[in-house]
Amino acid sequence: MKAYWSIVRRDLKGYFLSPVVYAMATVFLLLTGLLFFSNLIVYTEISFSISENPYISQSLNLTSDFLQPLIAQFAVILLFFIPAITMRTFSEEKRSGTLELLLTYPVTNHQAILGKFTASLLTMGSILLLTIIYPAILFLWSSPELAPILSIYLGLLGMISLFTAIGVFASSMTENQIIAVLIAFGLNLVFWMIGWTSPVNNGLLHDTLQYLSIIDHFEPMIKGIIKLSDITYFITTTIFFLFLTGQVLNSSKWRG
Amino acid sequence: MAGNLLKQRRINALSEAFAILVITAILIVVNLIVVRHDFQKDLTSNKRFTLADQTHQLLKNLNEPIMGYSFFRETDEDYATVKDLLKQYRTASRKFEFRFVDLDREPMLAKKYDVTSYQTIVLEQNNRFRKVVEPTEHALTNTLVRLTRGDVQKNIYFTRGNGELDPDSVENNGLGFLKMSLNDVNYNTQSLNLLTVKKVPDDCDVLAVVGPLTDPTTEVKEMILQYVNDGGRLFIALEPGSGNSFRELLENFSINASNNIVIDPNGFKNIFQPIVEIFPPHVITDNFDFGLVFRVASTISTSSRQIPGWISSNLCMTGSETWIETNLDAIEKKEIVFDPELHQKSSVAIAAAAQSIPSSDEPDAEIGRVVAIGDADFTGNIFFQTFAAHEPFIMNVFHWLSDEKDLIAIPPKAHFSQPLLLQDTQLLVGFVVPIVIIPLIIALFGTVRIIVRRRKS
Repeated sequence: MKAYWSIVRRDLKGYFLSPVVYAMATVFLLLTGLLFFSNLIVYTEISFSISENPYISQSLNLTSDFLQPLIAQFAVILLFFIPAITMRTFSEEKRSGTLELLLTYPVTNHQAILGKFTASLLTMGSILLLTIIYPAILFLWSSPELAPILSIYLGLLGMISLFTAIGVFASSMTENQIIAVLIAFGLNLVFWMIGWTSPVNNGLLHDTLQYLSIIDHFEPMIKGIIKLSDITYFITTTIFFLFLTGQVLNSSKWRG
Repeated sequence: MAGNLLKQRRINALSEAFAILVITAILIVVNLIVVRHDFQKDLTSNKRFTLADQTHQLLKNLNEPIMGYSFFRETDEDYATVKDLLKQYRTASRKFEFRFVDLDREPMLAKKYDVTSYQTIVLEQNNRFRKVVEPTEHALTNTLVRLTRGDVQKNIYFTRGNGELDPDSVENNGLGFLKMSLNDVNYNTQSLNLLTVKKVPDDCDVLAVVGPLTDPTTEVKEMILQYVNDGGRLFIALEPGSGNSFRELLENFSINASNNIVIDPNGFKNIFQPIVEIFPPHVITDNFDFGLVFRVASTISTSSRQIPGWISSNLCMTGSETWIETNLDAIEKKEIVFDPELHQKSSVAIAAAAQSIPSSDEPDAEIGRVVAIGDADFTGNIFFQTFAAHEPFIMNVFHWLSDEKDLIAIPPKAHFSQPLLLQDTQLLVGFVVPIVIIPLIIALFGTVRIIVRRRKS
């Protein structure tokens, strides 16, 4: 455990002492801030235009009509951002030749992988946590439902966990960070789009592809529904990619 | 040596591939187990993604499998909603299954169920099928009930001849939408002029008298009284200022129907639109958690003079700030003022239900039932459509009157309306904080941190 925590601390230090993370965080918050404001304008206009009709305005809801589409837009940005955060996890070590040193005793492969994964997750999680300012602003003017907001952020945590694991895996495959970004981004897109690719509307193939799709599990959580199967999906797919990372590192040892 | 190295590499590659397969298989099995025994928690305030208890009960008690054919395309507006809803039904019962059908790819299936357009759901059980009128839990569950119960049909007769509201009219003050809702759940509705018959028809399951403007003849009044005392079921909705003879009739069933007007200072749009949010315990209003709005209503309550053989109870009551105005002239002249010497603020009942109690001499006698409401507009088209809680309330009244306890009027999910009517300064905050201040803070923090570190090193 000591080795694990020392890797976490080391990588966190690397992230938070690098200008890249602050630049990325600034751009991320700028983009999400712009999305927040533009959605706010639209929602306000709709609120004014239907305020005369009590029947229609009964159905206007902050969670389903504002936060849910906003968070879905954030998720699209994360598709691109997380590979950029994770690209250096193993690629940098490989390029600089420090990977072999890192993987020597007393640090096991698993400790190294989990340590780097944790550091990347904490970094992205910290940036994401700053977006809590958006629902907080809504509380100034209205009473959004609190519990669904927690569910939304749990869904985001699941998503960044999977994307981070994919990013760490991609980074382990190459010493070139650009290639690592491209592999991670490609895999993220596969998980994003796979549910749309079923040639049929029913059956085992359709159900399997739908289940593999991250949207199928993310959408219920941003609506305010927490399902055991969705949590299981995020945990098991994260474990899968971290396991694959371990296999890649093992194979690089005996391949020489 | 080289050969040994190659052999070792192959062994390593195979063992890694095997490990990946094993882990993948384990993770797949874990997911399959969880999907089979899935559990979900709806965190929304109005539980809008959770099926009603009544639906759960119905699905749990299914004896035979039900297959749902959903003729929806992925591009249809309601596709996602329908999919979510059907998935919830499937999760609630293993005997409920569904699939989406493409009309163009399976025309024979569409023909079998007489489906000619998309956005239709058909439920089938044991070669019997029914179409669902709209993709809502309410419609789906009621269709399930009808399908599992067979084609039993009950008859509701709406009286005409005393200026009652017209069940065939879709004008604002018609009953067309109520009639449609009743037909949708397989009630047969007809109009009936009691002056043209000698007695209420034998196949009448519910006699509905809605908004009569004039008094009935003595013979008609006797006919209705006899019908109810013989185990008939009566629904009566009276407008203030009319139907005095019907008010006297209700006294026979331990119901007091006064000719007054309920004044609610906290009314919906004005003091003549009392809001009812208190529901004393009754089968009709079980799980009812919504407000009802009336338009010019009089009090209808359990009578202080209980008639032997009849027991009555209040169905819904106003808040404690309401009071009763008996001077209808004052209302005409718009001279409504609370006078503590004449008026008293209290919670009042606007609807009541009554049921006969079989005597010990005739324990198997048919049980008569009556529901009376002090406002006929409440059942009219405009109010029926405008307020989501009115339909399930009225439908539950008819289900109780006709002994259709399995037919469920699912209460609507409480609306959680949250419009944002932001002024310019508020919009400025919405712009400056997320787009300027927060990113600037992060950028400055990062810059300072890096500068400090560089100076240290």
